[in-house]
Amino acid sequence: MTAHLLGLVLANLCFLAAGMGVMAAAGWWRGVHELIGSVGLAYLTGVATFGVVAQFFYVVGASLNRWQVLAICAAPGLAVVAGLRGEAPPRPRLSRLWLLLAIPIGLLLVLMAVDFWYQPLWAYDAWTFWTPKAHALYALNGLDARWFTSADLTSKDYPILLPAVEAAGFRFGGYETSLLDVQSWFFFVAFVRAVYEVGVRRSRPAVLWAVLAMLVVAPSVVDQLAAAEADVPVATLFAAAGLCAWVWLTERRRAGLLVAAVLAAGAAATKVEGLAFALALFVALAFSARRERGRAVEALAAGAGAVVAGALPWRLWIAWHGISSQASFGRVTGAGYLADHVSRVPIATAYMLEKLFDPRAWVLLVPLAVAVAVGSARTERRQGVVLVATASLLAFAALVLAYWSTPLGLHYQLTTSARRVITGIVFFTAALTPLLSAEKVAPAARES
Amino acid sequence: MLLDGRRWFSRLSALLGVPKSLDPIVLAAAVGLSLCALGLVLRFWRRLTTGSERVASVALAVAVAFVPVCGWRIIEDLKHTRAMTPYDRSVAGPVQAYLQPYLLDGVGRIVPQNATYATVASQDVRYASARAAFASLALQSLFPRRSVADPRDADYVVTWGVRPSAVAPERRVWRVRARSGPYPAVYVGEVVK
Repeated sequence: MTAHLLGLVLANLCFLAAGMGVMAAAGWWRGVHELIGSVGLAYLTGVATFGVVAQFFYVVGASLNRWQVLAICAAPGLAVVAGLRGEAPPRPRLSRLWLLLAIPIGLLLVLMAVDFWYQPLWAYDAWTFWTPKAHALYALNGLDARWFTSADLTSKDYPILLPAVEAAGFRFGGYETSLLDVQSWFFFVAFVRAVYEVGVRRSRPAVLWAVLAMLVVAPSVVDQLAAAEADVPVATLFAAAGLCAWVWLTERRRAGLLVAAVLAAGAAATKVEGLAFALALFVALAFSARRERGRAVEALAAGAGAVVAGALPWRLWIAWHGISSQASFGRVTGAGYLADHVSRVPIATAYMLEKLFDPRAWVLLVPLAVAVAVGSARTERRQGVVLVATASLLAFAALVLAYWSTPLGLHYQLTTSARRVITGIVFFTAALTPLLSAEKVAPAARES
Repeated sequence: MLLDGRRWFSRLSALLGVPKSLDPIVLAAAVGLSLCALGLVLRFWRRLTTGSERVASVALAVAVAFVPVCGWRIIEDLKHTRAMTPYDRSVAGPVQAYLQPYLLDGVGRIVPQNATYATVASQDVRYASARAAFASLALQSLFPRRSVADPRDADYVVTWGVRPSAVAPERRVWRVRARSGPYPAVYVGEVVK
């Protein structure tokens, strides 16, 4: 199993290199210090880049062997060389009190990693379709239409970023399902690090560290990571896209919009709700920038690019092979069906709100976000508050619409999925909470 | 009060090895740590200049209470998962769905690699989750064979609690597993086309 772990680590280092390259090419970082200060975000960007490109190559018939995986990561990774030539700005200094808090947070993350090392693959969605899809990509050398259209394969229409990432791990370390929880752990650690990286220069330490601590101790996080399903990965990509979108909106850095689009494409290629989250983010971003028409159009164009890159190849593939989509556009727009099931709206809304605010799942992440947003609504951070509130509400509305239009029993759907699908909204609001608390809006670091 | 706290935490969705109720020592540690953290917050209250910082500091004190709870849950889970054998780990998914993981062990020797198959599970299978997961167990056990929806279109049918002849015309039938307690027998039938 140790060899499997080394293979998994190697695959993830490839994703990191790809992400560093994409972010250097976008102009997010220059110099070694900024590179180190962007590692978490770079990892998530790399996973999104690899996943979106891999999904495209699988759709066009590639097998993605080990060398092809390396090539996909190495191509953007080359831009790292250019990025290293730049000069680094001064690093922020942290007080020892706050750094002390990093110790229990780090220890808990290490303890989680040990737990996931021993964790078997047990969650229903993980062993019935997420991992079988990854295994099939690996063992059948690509997207074998015969197997991927099997009647007994559930959720055939779900996109394949996560199976592609897991299959890349199998290419380096061999087939081992016990380590897929560790793969989820990489996503989460990178996300926590990304919240720190973006927040440390821009927010009040008390708020930043409260969010970081609550993210790590939130019981729902460890439960979901142990389940090795796609909800944490899609949530981390969406929330990280939100962080970058904030940077574009408030600091006018074009790199923020580019990286946000890559991350949002990754979210759209991970789960159907990831597509809804990506749309919600860019519509909210355009709305927040509506006073400058050019920037609003830019945001919408970036969102459209993300959706096309992340979702279109897969949607075309499933349509070509006659796979019906669980998220049916016909049901969502069918006025008759929706009118017949209108009683579902308050039920789904109340149920999800209860899950969002349940301290036994998320501690006080959402109440803190609401309190900080209310406190910032009348300050110069109003534009950021509009972004967070609009994107969260649109994402929440998309989930309500999904439950409203589901052909399955509402009670069954809510009890089996609501606690998981809200993770995207929780992570998004949590990640942006520290930024809402900023003393003043950070000046544009540079136009890039 | 203590009992209520244990019940309140016990409604957390569980990891594999986490007991249903919280250890009282962990609960006491959570409360104690949280009170200490709150004391620190009050001590430095004047240094917290904005409402956001004050609310966040209280939230941080609450988060501190979750540190021992989080650690306890992970350690309890580790006790359970470390004791699992490699075989236990490999079959944890079906076991969680109340399926006997060896239910389809002999089926792969009967159904050729390039053949298609269809699965049917009887309503007599007592556990709904096991019934629902039967097809997924077949997908895993018979990989890379392809399954089809209509048994009459398949080369083979794999049935649980149903005679193959009841779902498709059969050429030959194998009983691969006899009835065992609440679990009915498993059959494989070669379909006449």
